[in-house]
Amino acid sequence: MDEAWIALRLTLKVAGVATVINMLLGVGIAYLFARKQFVGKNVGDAILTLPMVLPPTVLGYYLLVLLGKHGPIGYFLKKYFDINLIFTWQGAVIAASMVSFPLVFKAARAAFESLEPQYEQAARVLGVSDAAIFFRVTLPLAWRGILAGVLLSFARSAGEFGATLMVAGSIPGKTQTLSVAVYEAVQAGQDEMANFLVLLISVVCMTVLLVSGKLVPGRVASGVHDHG
Amino acid sequence: MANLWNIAVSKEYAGKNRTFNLDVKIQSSAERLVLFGVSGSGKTQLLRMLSGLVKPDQGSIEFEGKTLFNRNAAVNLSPQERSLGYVFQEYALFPHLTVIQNIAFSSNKGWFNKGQSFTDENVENWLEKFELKNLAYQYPHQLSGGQSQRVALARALVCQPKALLLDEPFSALDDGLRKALRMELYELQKQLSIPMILISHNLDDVRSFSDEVIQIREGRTI
Repeated sequence: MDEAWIALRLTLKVAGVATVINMLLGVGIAYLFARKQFVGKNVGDAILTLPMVLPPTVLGYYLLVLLGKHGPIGYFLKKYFDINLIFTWQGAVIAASMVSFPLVFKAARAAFESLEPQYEQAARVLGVSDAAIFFRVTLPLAWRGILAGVLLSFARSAGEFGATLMVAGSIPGKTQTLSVAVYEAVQAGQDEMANFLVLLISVVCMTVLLVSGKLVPGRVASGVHDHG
Repeated sequence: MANLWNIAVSKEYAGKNRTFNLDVKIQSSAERLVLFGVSGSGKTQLLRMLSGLVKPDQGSIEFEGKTLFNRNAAVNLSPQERSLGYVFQEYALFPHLTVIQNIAFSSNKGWFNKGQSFTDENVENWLEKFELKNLAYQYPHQLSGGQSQRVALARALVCQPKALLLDEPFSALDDGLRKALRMELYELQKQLSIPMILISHNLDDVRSFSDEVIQIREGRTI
């Protein structure tokens, strides 16, 4: 059963790093989409949301093409930094963060867009810089909605299978996350192992969902429109 | 003597079914100027243009001889640079901050909000002046309409703006309170001698507060 705990640790590491990446990128990009007007915004939104609807294997294939030895990014990284991402846990992180990115992006954008504009306007008139307004007004009023998306993204990352398998493979102790280990155990006829792994991943995801359910935007003094 | 306000702005708002044109010219030296008109006449949009929150399509805005906006000269000061106080119709108090944090908001230009325990003489003075000391650690949703208005006024005045813009400041209040706060605002203006522009659709506000009234109808001054 040691393998199971190793896989769990790896899964939490991959999902954790992927979630931090999504939190920074997703919140930043969502803020741009919620507040700025620019050419190609709708196309940009569609592209960023695509991972939610595309089969993970298709995403995995895209990543292989981009990050592989002969891919534009993979070639560049190898040549100038001697970095290889395919079949590494970092590759699994990229696969997981790509698949779960829309969950943070969508939640954060909705949270920013549902804020009453008058709070940010009031802060501008009070002479506070736009960057400071983001940290002092916008984020504190939108954080519940953002956090719900971040937790969902963590759960989705922890359960990622298709794209991870294609990019990172299934190397026990190195890139074999829980969901990949389940597949391997079933293939190998190790029913006991499969049962335990399935239970483990279910508990992890259930816990995250319960926590995120508690944090869905409340109505009390959150500065959010009441659409009810 | 030069005018306090020299305003000549226009802007087109294109909606789905109708286009609304705001085209306003105001030259005034009144310290208590009231813009009067029914709702939807464009008063709030004009006030937003003065504060820098909305950019006019054409024209210029000057206050005390200083250009805040001039389309032809490509001048458009940000709201932060205009040093004008603004009291929003629904007050727009930050819901996640206490009364004292709301009032002290502009005295801290950093990236993070101050905690609850700080001392700032200026903020203390305003708390005292508006009788808000007992409410310093309450949140906006715990305040009555009149208390919220006092907090909004104190928050706007604490950074010593050059003028104060008030968007229907009494509309959320009942009649008795309305009368009292109107007097309070009048006294405050006298005391601080800070120019104020107040917008209202209420004739009583006009009578008891203004020393000049400008009527706005369908986006035009008349």
